[in-house]
This record gives sequence, structure tokens and C-alpha cells, in this order.
Amino acid sequence: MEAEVAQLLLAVIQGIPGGATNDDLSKALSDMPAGSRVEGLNVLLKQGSIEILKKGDKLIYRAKDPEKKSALPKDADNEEKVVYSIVEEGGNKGIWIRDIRMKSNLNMTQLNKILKNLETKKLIKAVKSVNASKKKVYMLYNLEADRSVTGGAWYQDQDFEVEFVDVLNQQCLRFLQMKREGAEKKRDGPLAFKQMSCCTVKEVHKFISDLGISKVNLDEDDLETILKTVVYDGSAERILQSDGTYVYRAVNLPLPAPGLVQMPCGICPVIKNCSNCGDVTAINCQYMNDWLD
Amino acid sequence: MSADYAHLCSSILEQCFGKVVQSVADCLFSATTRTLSQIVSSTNFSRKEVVLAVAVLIKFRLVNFEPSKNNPFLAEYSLRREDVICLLRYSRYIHLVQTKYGNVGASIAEELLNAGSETATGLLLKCLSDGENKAESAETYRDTFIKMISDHYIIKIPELMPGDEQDEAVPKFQKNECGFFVPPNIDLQLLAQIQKGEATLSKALDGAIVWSLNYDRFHQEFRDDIMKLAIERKLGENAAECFSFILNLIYNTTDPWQRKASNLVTFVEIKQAIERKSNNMELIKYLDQYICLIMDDSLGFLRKVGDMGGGQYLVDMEKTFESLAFACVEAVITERFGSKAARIFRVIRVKKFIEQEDLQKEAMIPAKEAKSLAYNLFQEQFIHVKVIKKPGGGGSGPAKAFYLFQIKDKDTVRMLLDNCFKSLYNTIRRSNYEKNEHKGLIEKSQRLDSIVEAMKERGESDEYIAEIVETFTPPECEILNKVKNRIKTLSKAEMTLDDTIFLLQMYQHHCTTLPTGIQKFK
Amino acid sequence: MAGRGRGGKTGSLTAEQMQALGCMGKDMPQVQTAPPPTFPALLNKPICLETTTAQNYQLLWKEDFLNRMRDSPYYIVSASQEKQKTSVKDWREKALERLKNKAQPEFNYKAMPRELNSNYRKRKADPRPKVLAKKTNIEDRLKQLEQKELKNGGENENDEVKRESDSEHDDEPEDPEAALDDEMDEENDYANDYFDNGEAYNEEDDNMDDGPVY
Repeated sequence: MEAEVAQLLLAVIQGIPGGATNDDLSKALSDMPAGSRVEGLNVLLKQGSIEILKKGDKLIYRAKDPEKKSALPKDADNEEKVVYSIVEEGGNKGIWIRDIRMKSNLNMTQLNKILKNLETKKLIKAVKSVNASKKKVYMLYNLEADRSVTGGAWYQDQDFEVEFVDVLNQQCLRFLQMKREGAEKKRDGPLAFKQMSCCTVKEVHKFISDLGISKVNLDEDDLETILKTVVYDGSAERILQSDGTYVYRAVNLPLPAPGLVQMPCGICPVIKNCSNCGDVTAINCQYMNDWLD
Repeated sequence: MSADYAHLCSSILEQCFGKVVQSVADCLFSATTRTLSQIVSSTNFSRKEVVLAVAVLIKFRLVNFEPSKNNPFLAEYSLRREDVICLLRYSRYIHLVQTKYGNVGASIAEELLNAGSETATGLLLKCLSDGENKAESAETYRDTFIKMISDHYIIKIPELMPGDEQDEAVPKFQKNECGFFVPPNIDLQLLAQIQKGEATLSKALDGAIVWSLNYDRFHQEFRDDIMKLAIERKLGENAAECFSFILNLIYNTTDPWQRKASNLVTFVEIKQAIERKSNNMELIKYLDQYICLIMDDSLGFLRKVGDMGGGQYLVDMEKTFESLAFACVEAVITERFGSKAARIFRVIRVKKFIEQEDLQKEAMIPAKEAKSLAYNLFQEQFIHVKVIKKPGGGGSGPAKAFYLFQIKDKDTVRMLLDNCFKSLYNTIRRSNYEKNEHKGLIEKSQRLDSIVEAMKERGESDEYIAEIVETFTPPECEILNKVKNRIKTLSKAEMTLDDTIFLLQMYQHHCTTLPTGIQKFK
Repeated sequence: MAGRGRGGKTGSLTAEQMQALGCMGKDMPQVQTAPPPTFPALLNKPICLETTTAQNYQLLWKEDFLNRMRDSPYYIVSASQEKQKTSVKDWREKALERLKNKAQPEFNYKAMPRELNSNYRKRKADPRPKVLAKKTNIEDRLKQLEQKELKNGGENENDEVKRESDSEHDDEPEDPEAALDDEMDEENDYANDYFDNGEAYNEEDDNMDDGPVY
């Protein structure tokens, strides 16, 4: 009996491509009492033939593609299935716990229990988002989190790897300088020298990979970001090529250290307080004293 | 002109001319013009002293006067504020003259600086009567003097207007620019006579023509040196040589103080000039490549504007000094806040407007550090914040505001320049303090030196001299050496600080429209 | 009430604004419990570059120059300052000063407003002996004044006092140019008398203080 009801329901639901609301079902099967309808729906859910979605305030029942195997084991209860499918939809960007609550309409404590369950069953995992460190997003266990969440190659366990970035920076610079020194030895005129001291991102990538200092796989885009920071340090410049890509070369600074920084006032953190009277004056300045002796 | 600059000028004038001149200048600094009575009443000194002070300032070309609008017999005085700082550059001017014209030139320039302004005959007299310069003849001095005039290092002060329009109460001057570098008639025979005492200076025919050093010509050399050094550091010696030839060519047709960019010069002209005068084979061989190199460089010194004559180029002063001034700013940031802060600054400069989040990503600096550094830069006014408000979602809801970092070029440079003025003031003040604190000791050592010298001239025995020297005890000696070292460090800091000030002033001249008082003729 | 500003802005920031500025969360610095030190520790020391030969030359020259300016006639020390100093000097210092023998300042008075010319004196209505003396010897001057006194009587006492005290204090030799000026001024003196703004009063006061009154 139940199976028949379930079949009827399934047929109706499959007929409505967008999914059927309770109202649709009761209209289509007007002689079916609400109770048996609910039971039938539960059966279908258990079988995994339909899934529940929420549209606004209404619940929609949609026929699931029979080929799409749900990884959900049979003994998962309905709520878990709901939550699981919501998490699945988040893809590799994950979904925030608050959003899961909104979509599933479950309360917090219940949801937390379910999530914990699913986690222990290794069906989903929690990943800390690099943008907001308090935010946790959930995604399917075997998915690799997207870059926007993890921060990419520069983040290890959501911590920005400062030393790693600095080491890469130094190595790239070293490579550029070596190339430049090599070019200086040849004397074919200035433009040839300039050409030869330029490095493409590919060359730098090869060099860094050969060095083997990186545990993480770095691609060319990553290295371009590093090279840009070398340019921002003033140690290199980037030149636009005719094909739209950039090459990089090491350069010297055009000015020697300015006179201002050859004395303490140039690096003084309290210079705004300095005047003729008060605690900070030229005469009682501690930095001056240290510098003069 | 800021308060920092005012303090600085005040202390410079006190160092060179004493407290009376200092307070007269202070009174004039904060006003457009003042009459003599107004000056007397606002300072605490007697009228005689004030009169003398004003006369000194006029002689040293630091004060101008004009007839008052209401009363043409009353003079109103105004301070030439931009020129006060040139007092600090005197040693640099002398060094330049020394390298170009040798000791003779240096002696001429020195006498001219000591006197402020002087007639040609009077000047040569002073040079010749100075004991150290007996070796050179009067002809050498005269020739060097004339050469310095033709190279524009010495300039004639505007002459008195002849005729009826002249008034003694407030003399008027000619405004004809053409005659500033016309060499005077120097009578060497009369010079010899005056030296022997057979004639007086008043007999000289050029008594009405007064000369002075043309500071801006020196500034032109300094400015060119900065540019050449930058190119040398970045692109090599050959490129620097090429650039210096280009500059020389450009001065044939351009006012060296034209603000934004120079006039044009063609490739053919450059090539001819270099082939004629340079010995650098490599430069001649690859000339077009070097020019290309300078043109393509991110410093932006040279710009191509046309193809006539093998290529028309001009020197883009504005871009040049923008690059150089900001290289200076970035160096200061590196020293003051660290290299990561400098990276942040450069990112903002490239991106023009950028949010905090994007800044962190672009500069690859962890969030906390990036925020702290950006805040420090903001607090010290190296960078500024622009707020963009958007009405919140659909007209209702809170207004969303975006906080973008930006760099206001002119403000940043001005802030740094004021910083330099303050630092320079501190060095001078500290230097004066050190001298005062140990005044007794310094004077004692000076007295001792003069006594020892006198004794040596008299031919006293070495033993006796040694005894006198020993009255200066070793601990006193030590303290004195320490003080001398301190003063030397402070003086050196003054000089290097002035280099930075000069660079930033060049930025203000070429990249802004602020009045800087620099021009070819003064 | 104070919070309600123009345009409905309040004094404090909303939570959203704080977030946009990056002021929320654990990235905030610690709460300060004491004022920061007057001289916090520096990151690094000021750079020290080698002194080049050019710089050494300039340093020496500058020191010389400052000393020369101090001794030059253009370095003006006020009389009030001098008085403070004289009490402390001893005989050795005074001897050295005399040795220094300060030169006289040379000014091109023709190129300056007349009021700055300290040789220029305001003429009173009495005739002065038009002596084009090359040097003013004080004794000769006194003799001349004595003669004049006998001639003119007491009416011109004031002016004589003035001239006496002036000659005691002005060590500048009268040059022919100043005398020429005197001549011209005697004839065309209207300008100064016309615009009498009480300056003469001050001058006389000064002179009263300076010289002895006979």
C-alpha cells in the first residue's frame, strides 16, 4: 500500500520538473489523505528517489536523477540527508553553517549534531575560510577546497606562510640578479644587455622548481605574484612584452640613501612631538645622544 | 612657507649674522612687506642697530625694497625667503667653483660670498691683498672673473636707473635682463696703483656695477648632477655620458628652469655633438641604443616626440623629478618603517586606489602586519584615505562606505620637506648648544692655538711651547675632541640633509605650480 | 545631542564601518595601559656613509666661513648684549679683541633707501661748517665746536651735544660722498620735515643716553 502511494507521488513529482510542493501533490492526488502522503514521501526519501528543497517558505520535493548515486549510506536519517545534499551543493567553495541552517530549516543544536555525525562518518569536512578566520565552511570530504577559501599555496592551515613567501621572494631576486650578472659579461651593446637580463616567468618557475624548496606545488601564476612583490620592493622592474606577458629584470635604485635618513630625525618616530620645549627637543633627544657618541 | 621653514631661516641667519639680523628677518618673514619704523617697533633693538641689520640684509641680497604704494618716498622691505637657505649651500658653491676654476676661482667666489655683493675692482683688490694668493697675477684673476661671468656663475645686480626718475629716498633699478652678464671694464693699472696706495677705490670706473654669485646657476649644476647620477646608477656610465651631452644641447635652446619639460633636440644633433667631443668608442658605436635605453626606462627622463631629424626627443623634467622624489620618499619609508612598509607604499602608488584587503593580497604581507604598517604610514601622512560612500542596499539600510588608500603626491612631498626643515633646524640648534656648553673649553683651546702660533713666529724653543700646550690637560683634550667630533657629525648631517631638501625643492619646482623663486636671472 | 551632527552623521562608527576599516577581530593591537615611552626603541640606526673628499673640503670651508662671518663687520651684536658680556671679560680677552681689529662694513648707500644711510643726518636749521675733512680727529672736532660755541652762544647746545656724541660713537670716517649728500640735503630737505612721524624724538632720546652732556 505504501509502495503504491510512494509510486504515485513519485510519478507526480517527476512530472513537475521544478519540483512539487505539498500543494501540488495534494491537488494532483486529491483523494490521498495527508497522512499517507507524508508516509509515502518518507519512503521515497529513504529510497533516495526524491530530495527536499526549500524555496522561500515552501518545501519542494524533487525527483532525483536515478543515475546520480548518492554517496549517502542507507542508514542516514532524513535530516542528515537534507544537510548532506545542501553541503554537496556548496561544491568546493563550501557552505557556511548559517546558510545550511537557513536552507534546511533545522535548529542549531540539531544541525550541529548532524554535522558532527557526518564529520565522524567522514562524509563532510569543515574548512576554515582564510578571509574570515571565525567562519567555518563545510564541504564534502573528498573535495579539494577552492583557493578562495584556503588562500592557495601561501596558506598552510589557514596561516599565511610569511617565511615561505619571503624565501621565494629572495630566491627569485637572486635568480634575476644572476641572470643580469651573466648578461653584463657579454659586451654587445646596451640593448642586448637589457634583453639578456630579462627573465620570463617560465624561466623563474623552472629555477624555483629545480631548487626544490617548495613543498607545495607552485604554478606560474603563483610565481608571477611573487615576482610582482619583488618589483614592489624596488629591486626589479617588469616590462610588458608585445604578446601581453611580462618579463622581469633586476635593477638598481636610482638614488643613494637620502641625507634625511643619515641622521636620527629622519627615522624618528616621535618627530611630531619635537619642538623647542617639552619632552622631546633637539637638546635632550635620546636618539641624537646615541648617534653623536 | 611653513613654520618649520621659518624657524630654520631664523636659526641660519642667527648663525651667520647675529641676533639683531635674526629678529629683523623674523619680523619680515611673517609679513609681506614692512617699513623701517614697523621693523624697529617690532624688534627690541635700537634704530641704529636695525638700520645696520637691514643694510646688511640688502647687501647680501636677502631683502628687497620697493616704494610704498601710498607714499613713493617711503621704502617697504620684504624678505627673499627662498634665498635664506642658500646660505647653507655656500660651501657647495665654493667646491663647485674650485673644481671648475681652481684656487683662483675659489678665492674670487669666497670674497664675493664674504661681502655679499661687490664691485669687480673691489673684489679683485681683496683677492690680491689676501696673503695666500700672492702667486697669481692680477691678469689671471681678471680672466677667471670674466670667465665666471660668461658662464653665468656671477651675475650683475640691477643697476640704478639713471636720470630724473631716480629718487634717493627709495632708489629704483633697471629691469633690463640682457645686461646681466656683460663683463665690466677692469682697469688693471688702476688696480696696481691702488695696491701700492697711489690711488683709492673710488677712482675705479666700474664703481656703479655690483656683482654677486648667481645661485640658480649653481642649482642648475646640482640638479643636472642628480639626474646624471641616477642614470649612472641605473643604466651605466655610458648612458650617463650620453645624457649629459643631451642636457648640454638642450641648454642652447631652453631656459634651464622651464617647469614641465625642455625643448626639443634631434638625434642628429646629439650624434654630432658626441662624435665631436667624446672619446667613448662604445658610446658612439651604440648611440641609438643608449638613447633608446634611456627613453624606455621607467624613470622617464627622456621622451620621444617626433621622427624628424632621426628622432626628436625632450627631457621630461616633470616625470624625472617625480620618479626621483618618490625614490627618495620610498628610501625614507624603508629606513623608518621597514622594507615591507615600502612595499605597501609602492603597491598603493601603482594601483592609485586600493582597499586594505586587496593591499594585503597584492603585497603578500600577513593581514595584521599589513594593517599595522598601513596605519603607521597613514598616521605619518605618507598615504591618505579616500572615502567613497554608496547608499546602502536598495535605498534602505546603512550606507556602505569604502575606504581606499591613496597617495597625494604633492602633500606627501611637502610633508617630507617640512620634516627635513625641522631636522635641519634640530642639527643647527644642537650644534649651537654643544658649542655653548663647552664654550669655555673651545675658547681656551683657540686662545692656546693663537698663543702657540705667536710663540712660533717669535721663535721660542720647542720645550717652552710644549709646556704651554700642556696647560691643556688630557681630560680636557679628550672632551674637546669629543665635542669637535659631535660638531663635525652635525655639520655633515646638515650638508647631506640639504641634498635631500634640494631634491624635494626641485620636485616642487618641476612638478607643481608653487612659486619657488628659481629663475635664470634674478 | 553632541552625536547628532550635520547630515545625520553620528560620532561613532557602525559595526560595518569598523569592519571595512579592518578594526574588528583579533588583528587589533593590545589595549594601552600606560602612555607610550617618550623615545620608543628604533628599528634600525641612521645610515652612516663615508665622508667623501668633497664633503671634507666643504666641512672645513664651512667652519672657516662661520668663524669669518662671526668676526666680520656684518655680524651685528646688539649693544645690550655687549653690556652683559663686558662684566665677565678679563684683561686677556679684551687684549685679544683689540688685536682682532674689526673691519668696517662697506655699504653701497646709493643703492639703498636713504633712511638706511647711517651717515645721513637730519639737518637742523643751523649752518654747519662745510668741512670736507678726510679724517675726523676728535680733538680737532672739539676745537671746532669750542670755536662755534663762542660764536653762536647757547642756542645750539642740543645740536652740538648730538654731533659730539655722534662723533664719539661713529668711528666711520666721513667720506666725500656723505658730505655731498649733506650739501644736497640742506637745500632740498622738505621731504623729511614734511613727513615727521616722531622719529627725531626717539633719536634724541638715544643720544641723551649715549653721550655725556656738557
